Amino acid sequence: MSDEKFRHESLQDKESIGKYLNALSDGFLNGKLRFSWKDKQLLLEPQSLIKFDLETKKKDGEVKMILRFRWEEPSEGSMFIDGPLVIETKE
Amino acid sequence: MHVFEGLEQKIQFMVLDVSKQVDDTLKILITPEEDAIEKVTARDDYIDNFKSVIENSCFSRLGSHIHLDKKGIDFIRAANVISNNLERISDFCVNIANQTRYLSRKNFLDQYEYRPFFRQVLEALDIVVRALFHRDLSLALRICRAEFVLDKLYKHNFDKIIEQLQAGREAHSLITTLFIFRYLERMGDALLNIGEAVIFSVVGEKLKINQYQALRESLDTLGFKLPLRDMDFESIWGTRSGCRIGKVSNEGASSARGVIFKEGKLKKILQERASIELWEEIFPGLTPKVFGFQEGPDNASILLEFLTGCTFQEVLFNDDKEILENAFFLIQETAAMIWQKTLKPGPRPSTFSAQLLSRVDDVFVVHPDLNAPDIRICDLALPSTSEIFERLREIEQELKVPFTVFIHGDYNINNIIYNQKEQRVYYIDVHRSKDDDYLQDLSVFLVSNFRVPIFESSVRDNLNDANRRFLHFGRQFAREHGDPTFEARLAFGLTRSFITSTRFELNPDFAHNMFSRGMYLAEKIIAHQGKPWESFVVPKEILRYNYF
Repeated sequence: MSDEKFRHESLQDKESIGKYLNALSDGFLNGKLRFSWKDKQLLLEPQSLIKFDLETKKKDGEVKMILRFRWEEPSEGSMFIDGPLVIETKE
Repeated sequence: MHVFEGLEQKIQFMVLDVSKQVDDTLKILITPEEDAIEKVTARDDYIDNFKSVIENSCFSRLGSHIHLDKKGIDFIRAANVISNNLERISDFCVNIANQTRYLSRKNFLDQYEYRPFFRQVLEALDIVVRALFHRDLSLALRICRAEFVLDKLYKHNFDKIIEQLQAGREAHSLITTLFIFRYLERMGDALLNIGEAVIFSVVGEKLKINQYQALRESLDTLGFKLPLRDMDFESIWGTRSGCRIGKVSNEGASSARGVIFKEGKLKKILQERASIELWEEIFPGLTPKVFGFQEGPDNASILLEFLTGCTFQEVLFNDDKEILENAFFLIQETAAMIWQKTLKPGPRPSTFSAQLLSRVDDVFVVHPDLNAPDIRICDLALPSTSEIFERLREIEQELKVPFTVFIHGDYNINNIIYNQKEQRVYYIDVHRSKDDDYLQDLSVFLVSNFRVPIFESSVRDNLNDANRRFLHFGRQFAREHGDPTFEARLAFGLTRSFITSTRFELNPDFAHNMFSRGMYLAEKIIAHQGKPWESFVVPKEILRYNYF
């Protein structure tokens, strides 16, 4: 699942965009953001800290707003993982 | 034509050798001799060489410093096609000669009429050089006709062989004989290519023989008595619509007049003619006059008056505001007049979704990524593209078209001709005209503006402005004539046209742009279900192009 990618693009208006934002907001609250298409699924479980970037630009009548969320998935290599510390020695 | 002198000689020699080849093959069929078979095989190498030499000669002339006009280039192309096909005839001779080895007895072929094949091929070969170098179209036609005769001869012998095979004897020799006749029949195909190449070199257009005949007969009935080689045939729109369209004009004559020649499927051409007759009653002079009509078993051709002026698309590209204003005024006036005059009350079903469903597979062939599956974003479930289209089809049944008018049927900005001097507009390409929802024409018109793949702001502003104003015009007509579901049907019509237009658009970003507009309107329609359709509004921004 390391390279899984989900993308959705559509045209919305100020009313219809709400349902997308609400769905994402609920997903964050539940700690599970699930994206599925065809027989594939991408599950994101933000547990730790989330870096949140909000950027907005106005240029020649065109407006751009970028919301970016970044976090790390807990992994074996992470030093904050719970459990005993094991030190192996060479014979 | 001194640049072609060497070429003429080479082709002459090649034709002579291929004729000898055909002659010797006939002798082999009469009396199969191993020596004769070897001679034919050996000569084939020599003919292959001829082909290469002519090919080199053609291509080096194209690349040389001697200036060649279009006629000269067309001639060289034709010469190359001819030498290729002569070489194929020689190959078939070798194939036939080799086949005789598999006959069970030397006189097996005596029971068949193979000589007429050879007579046809030899007679056709005999006139190739004259046809090409004297630019003689009647000789070219005679070459083409050989194919027709050879096909008939083949059919006759084929039936006989099948009958004998059913009797169950000498299957091996019978199959061999069938192969021999098949090669003779294929010589006909090569001759047809040769004849068509001569027509091409004279007319300057890739006309198939049946198209050429139709054009010639149409011009005859029209009273163009000049030989076709003095005419200028200019291809205009290629073949996207399934018709071949070209403009023929007689530049040399003092009374120069142009005609449009259209060749295509019989049904379509018949429809075009019938529509023009109907338009003639409703609005005389709106559509081009029919000068000639030719009908074949599957195809037909029509010769139409060439209307001077420019298409509305060309007006939009031009930055002359006064002309644009005038053209727009005339287009609106003409549409309003036609709609009012032909308005017939009576509800009828709205059919945009059915049109969309019948064309959407072609869209996905060009843009498979647009065929989105159903997806889920957290708790938000979004239906697949096909589910959305199916929902549209169901919902559209709730809508009724309150009245019909006589519509153009393919009312895009290329099918409207504007003539400033005469202060009028014309409709062309009317084969889909009928009594129907005026929103059909309106939505096609609007999206045909939008889909113009030009993004320069001066042109884009004109396109956006034309859409804003034409939408306003449509809304006004709806109000004045009591059409409460106008907006909802407009949304269906625009959805249909935005989405189906992407099948002609290879720029993925622009195709995406149009597709997502169609899907946006589709989702709006679905979200509105349950509420009265009279309250639906199409956001006018949907017709304004955005640069993202």
